Amino acid sequence: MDPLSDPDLSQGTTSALRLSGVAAPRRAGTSGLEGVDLEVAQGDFLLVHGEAGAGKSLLMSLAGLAVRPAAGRIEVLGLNPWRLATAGRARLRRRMGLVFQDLNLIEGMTVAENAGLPMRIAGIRPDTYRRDVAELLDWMGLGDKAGAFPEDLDHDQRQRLAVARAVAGRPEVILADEPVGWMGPEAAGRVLRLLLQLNRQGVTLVVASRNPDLAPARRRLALVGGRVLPEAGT
Amino acid sequence: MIRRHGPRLAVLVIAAAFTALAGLVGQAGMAALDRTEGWRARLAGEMTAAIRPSDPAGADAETVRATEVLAGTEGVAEVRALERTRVAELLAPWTAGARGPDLATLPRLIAVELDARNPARRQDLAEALNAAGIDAVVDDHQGWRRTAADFRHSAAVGLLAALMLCASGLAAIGALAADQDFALRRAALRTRIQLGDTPLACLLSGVGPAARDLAAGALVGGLGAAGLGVLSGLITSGISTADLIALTWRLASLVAAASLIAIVCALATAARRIQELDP
Repeated sequence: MDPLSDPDLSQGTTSALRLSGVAAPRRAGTSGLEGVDLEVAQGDFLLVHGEAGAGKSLLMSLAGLAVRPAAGRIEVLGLNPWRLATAGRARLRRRMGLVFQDLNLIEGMTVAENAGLPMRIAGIRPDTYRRDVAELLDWMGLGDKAGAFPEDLDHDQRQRLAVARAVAGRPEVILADEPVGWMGPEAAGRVLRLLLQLNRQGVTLVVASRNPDLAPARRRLALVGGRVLPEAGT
Repeated sequence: MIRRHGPRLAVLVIAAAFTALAGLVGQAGMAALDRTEGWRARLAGEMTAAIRPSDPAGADAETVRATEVLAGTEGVAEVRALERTRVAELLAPWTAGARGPDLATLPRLIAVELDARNPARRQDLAEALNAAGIDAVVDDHQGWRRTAADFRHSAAVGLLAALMLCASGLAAIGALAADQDFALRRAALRTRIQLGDTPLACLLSGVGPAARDLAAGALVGGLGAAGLGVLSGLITSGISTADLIALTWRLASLVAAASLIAIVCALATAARRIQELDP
């Protein structure tokens, strides 16, 4: 049973993410979204799966505030981002960690600078987070690449860097679009263990993937042609 | 730090060229305005009495008498009768048609310098001469002053137009530099916005390199204009310490104004572009 459909379970929980009747126009090669209703409680782990072009990335972009919905309402951590002023929306974004499908690494920054970017944006002094970033990069197997630039990395390493950046700022919600799609089994396992560990610590996790069995998520939703089909939790 | 995406020599050179042009136009324009103002002030502080001698033989004596009358009039500081040859030179444009004009028949001109604190009026001088029985016309230089004022106005309009042109050029290069920077950094800025950076922070970090290039260009252009100004001063009349201080002040103002115009336009352009990144 979907935990959110159970009144006892949904009562008293604060939603990390709520989409009500959200629609977004189709983009090149993908479906648009129509009337998407979705709620993710804080600390939950939701896996959104579907075929290529089903609209997963569009859904993640909407949830990650990279795209404004054409219709409907989005709430993140109890706030309507599109009603907030620019600065308020920026603060809300800082509470989220995003792994974009196209990674969105900043080519002019080193690996360490990319990983530390959320902290830098939050106004934290580099001295304060430099060691944490180094440890995180070590854990991700990128310790020896800290001074390299993204263009010097292969796709697997780039994806690990994108995950490192998403988790580095200790976000309350992590939205990861195909976070291990290009990784080998060992690296993918390592990254998924990290994400699960963070989820156990209370971080809300939403992962989009073509693989419905990517990770032991508490909830799974199938996305077909821009529509969400609820599935039973595992 | 974000690595630079190639040299921005073009931005620097164009900003320098427009600033130098503004500096040269400014120096020339200010000099023209100063000279015109000096001319107008001198014309306002003087009048000219044209004595029409009744008898050419007694013209010199009549001129001396007119000089004495004018010198004794209240509001007159100094009186100076012009030499006949000088009068002939001054009136040459009007007497050129006459071959070998008899200098004795020409009116005698007396330059009257007025007391700056209590200047005499044209009527005062005319009445004083008439009372002494001297046939004279007093010119208070109204016509010349009007011409000088018109010239000054035209010079000011021309200077303003030229400076506006330079300012537009600087504004355009500022906007272009920001646009170019934005195109290079669009992906990085979009990512920063999505990671929670504010448009203002993106703006300040993103427009920094363009601002540096523009300010450097303005400085180079300002120094170039100042160098040419010093060179022209040395060639013409020499440069004093006061001139150098004034030049330095003008240079600093020019560079500041040029940088400000270019950077404000760069900021405005970048702000508009960055705003587009936050859906």
